[in-house]
Amino acid sequence: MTVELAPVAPPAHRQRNPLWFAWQRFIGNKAAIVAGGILLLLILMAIFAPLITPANPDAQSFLAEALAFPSAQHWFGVDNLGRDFYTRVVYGARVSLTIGFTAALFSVLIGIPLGALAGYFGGKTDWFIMRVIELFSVVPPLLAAMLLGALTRGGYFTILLIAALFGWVQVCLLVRAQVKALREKEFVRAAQALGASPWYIIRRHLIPNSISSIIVGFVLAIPLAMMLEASLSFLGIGVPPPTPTWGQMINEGIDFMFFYWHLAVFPTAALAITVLATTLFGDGLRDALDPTLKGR
Amino acid sequence: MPLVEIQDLKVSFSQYGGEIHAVRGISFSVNEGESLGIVGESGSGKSVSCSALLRLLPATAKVSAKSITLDGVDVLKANKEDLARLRGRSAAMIFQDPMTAFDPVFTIGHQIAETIQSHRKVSKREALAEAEQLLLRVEIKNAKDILTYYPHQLSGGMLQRAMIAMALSCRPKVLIADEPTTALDVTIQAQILQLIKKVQAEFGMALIMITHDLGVIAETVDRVLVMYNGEVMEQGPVQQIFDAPQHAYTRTLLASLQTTFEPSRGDGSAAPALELRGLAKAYRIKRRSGFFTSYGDFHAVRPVDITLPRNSIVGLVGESGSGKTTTGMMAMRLTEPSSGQILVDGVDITSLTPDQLKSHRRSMQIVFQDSYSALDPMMTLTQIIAEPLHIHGIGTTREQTEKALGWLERVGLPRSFGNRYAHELSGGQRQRVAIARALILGPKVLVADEPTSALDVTVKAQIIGLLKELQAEMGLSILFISHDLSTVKSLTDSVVVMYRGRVVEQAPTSAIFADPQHPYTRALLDAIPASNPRDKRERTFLAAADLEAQTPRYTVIQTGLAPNATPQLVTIAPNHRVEAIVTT
Repeated sequence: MTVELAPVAPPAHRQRNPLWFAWQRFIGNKAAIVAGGILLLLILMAIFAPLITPANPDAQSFLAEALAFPSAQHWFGVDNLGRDFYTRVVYGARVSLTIGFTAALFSVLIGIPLGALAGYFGGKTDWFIMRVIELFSVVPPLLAAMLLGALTRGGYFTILLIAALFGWVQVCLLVRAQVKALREKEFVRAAQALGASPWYIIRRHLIPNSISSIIVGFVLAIPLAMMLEASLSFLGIGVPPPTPTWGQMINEGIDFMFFYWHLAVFPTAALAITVLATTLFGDGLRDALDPTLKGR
Repeated sequence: MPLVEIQDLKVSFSQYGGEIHAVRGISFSVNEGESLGIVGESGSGKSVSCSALLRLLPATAKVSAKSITLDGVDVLKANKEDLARLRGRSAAMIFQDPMTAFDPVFTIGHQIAETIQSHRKVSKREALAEAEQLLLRVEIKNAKDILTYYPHQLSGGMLQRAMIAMALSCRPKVLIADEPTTALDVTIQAQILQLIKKVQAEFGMALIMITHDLGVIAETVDRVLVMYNGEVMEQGPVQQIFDAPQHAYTRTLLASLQTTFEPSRGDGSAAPALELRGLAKAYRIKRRSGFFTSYGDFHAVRPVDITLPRNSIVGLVGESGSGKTTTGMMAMRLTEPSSGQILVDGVDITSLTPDQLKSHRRSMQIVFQDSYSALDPMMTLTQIIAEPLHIHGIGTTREQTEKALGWLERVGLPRSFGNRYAHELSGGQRQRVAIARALILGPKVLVADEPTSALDVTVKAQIIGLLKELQAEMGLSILFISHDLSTVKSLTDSVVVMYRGRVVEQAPTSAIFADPQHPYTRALLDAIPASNPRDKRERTFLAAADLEAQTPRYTVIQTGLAPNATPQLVTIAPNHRVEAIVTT
């Protein structure tokens, strides 16, 4: 067939992989953009904490002004032990954010392989992994965390472990669903016909194609871990003092709430803003990466 | 005044800052009782123009026109009530996929009655009675039962009939059929087309038939509109378009109907490239009655013997559900057979473990039907084509890339496409990439599972040409699975016809098209749409029971086999075998 056809204007072509389109959808979402900005600001604050507040978070430098209300000198006031409260809130972000991100990272590290295995092989493997997941979903995380925390006397790593232990379930389910749908696709069949091993297919096809689920699972695991840490610290079995954490500060602030409002309000606001920002950012990412889920 | 008149219709969609002009100023009109065919490939704007006529386009579409009138109403200015009256009473639409056009949670009867009630004030009972009448009109025999069925209980052909009944329920003046038979088998397609012609005559409606298949056009319409890239290329009476096409594009379309190839030089002496011996697949199905569960076997494929000689193309045809794809999958060992043997190049690969099989996989490959899901969306074309080399560890990364780019050229795509992603390609280009991936290892056997059924006519002809060319160059043996008999006729050397999991006839292509023996083969061949409007004819259709009754009979003397009441494959000429009953 050598007949000349009417020339079709070639559309301007740039190499655009599927993530480019996701990015286009993401920047259309105002709430997610604002949330992302706030989150970035919080992360920078946590990293450069010593630069923004020269005061030491643990030193009782302002004992004379203990329980002072917010002022130009002490933006968030001074706490009952004479420490600059603004400094403590900023340093508290370090604990919350590191626990949030590290726990989410561990959740993903456990969730991806298990989810991929369950989704790809199905059958007995799937059955076994699903029963494990059910085991984790029926136990209330806070209760189990309290038990574990009380047994091990709390501490930074225990909290990480507990948060990861309860965070991977979501990631695993997301990855499993994605892999299950992808497994029936013909490019997976084609790879099987080429003699590719299951591991090769999972590594090269299934995980890259589930990347959106993984990112979403990661981001949504962050606020869960942060809330868990705050709850445990609030109950006194989390990160031990004097390390400043928001949960602990809220707990202390409650005692003074009716007279010195600032001790409870600032850490609560910080926690609420961080969790809200992360959740909104995660929702935005989910909508952008998986347009079919929109509107749920 | 014509029933439908469209003047200078333009439709564009805006997306990521750019604008896509789907329809660029087309005009056409349809008179009462006339049938107009709109033919063009996907993306040519044929469906979009008809959706614009009923204002069914999404809000992102920008529609402008000098005038769009339907049944004397200006569609562009119509308000909600006018539109509701237009849709249904003036024009009704039949869609491509009847499975998705019905709501799965309501019965057929409920859905048809609902349509009737929304346009006329009648009671539910009257509406249901009328629905039953309509179903009878579209030749559904047990209409009363069908009314209480849910969509999933009906086959595609039956659903399309019900869809037509629903479209007829408001006595529309024009029926718009948007690729009504694309998702159906050839035999069902012929029946539905004949039915549409019949009801059109009975109800005195006008018909707009949108299709990419010139055969459908030849069978059904009086006047044709050829569209390409949002513009009308040519229009005129159907006979004139087929006999004296004016525009180059129309000629290309027509040429793609009549492609023929040199028969491949089959090599009968050596061991066949692929041999299936008594290959069968049965699925276990669980039936529950009260507390007891019983197990039954569903025979997707009954024991079949198929031989694919070296350097030749064998067609495997049959309707959907006949087991042809399952056979192809078993031949590739992508589906485990229940019994039987698979011999590739004389080596039995039936019971090899995945590790042992890996080296054999280099000599057997598969191309799939759906080019959309056949390519990994996260990989560039170079990565996709080089994947077989990567899996088998052939060459360095650089050599792999170089070889992949070479193959990109060999399947007719520019090297600059190497860094693109699959979603940037058209269906035909994607299928080329899939072919390159399948052939890069230099296999001896290729199973092509309906590689062209999702493609436009012109593109289909190109892909078939490419396959044939590569086959001749590489000395490939291809098992070509298809339900498209015209392609099979031009491409293959011999044909195997499958029906309900059995091989009912196998013979050299010329023999089977000249002298089909089995009633099912005859029914299949009869259903091929005419390639010229002159050849269109009334058809009679056989039910499954008639097919059984007409199974050929041969005597013991003719065949030299023992008499047997169950049908068996009988050799009636060299290489020509047919399922028949041997009598005394």
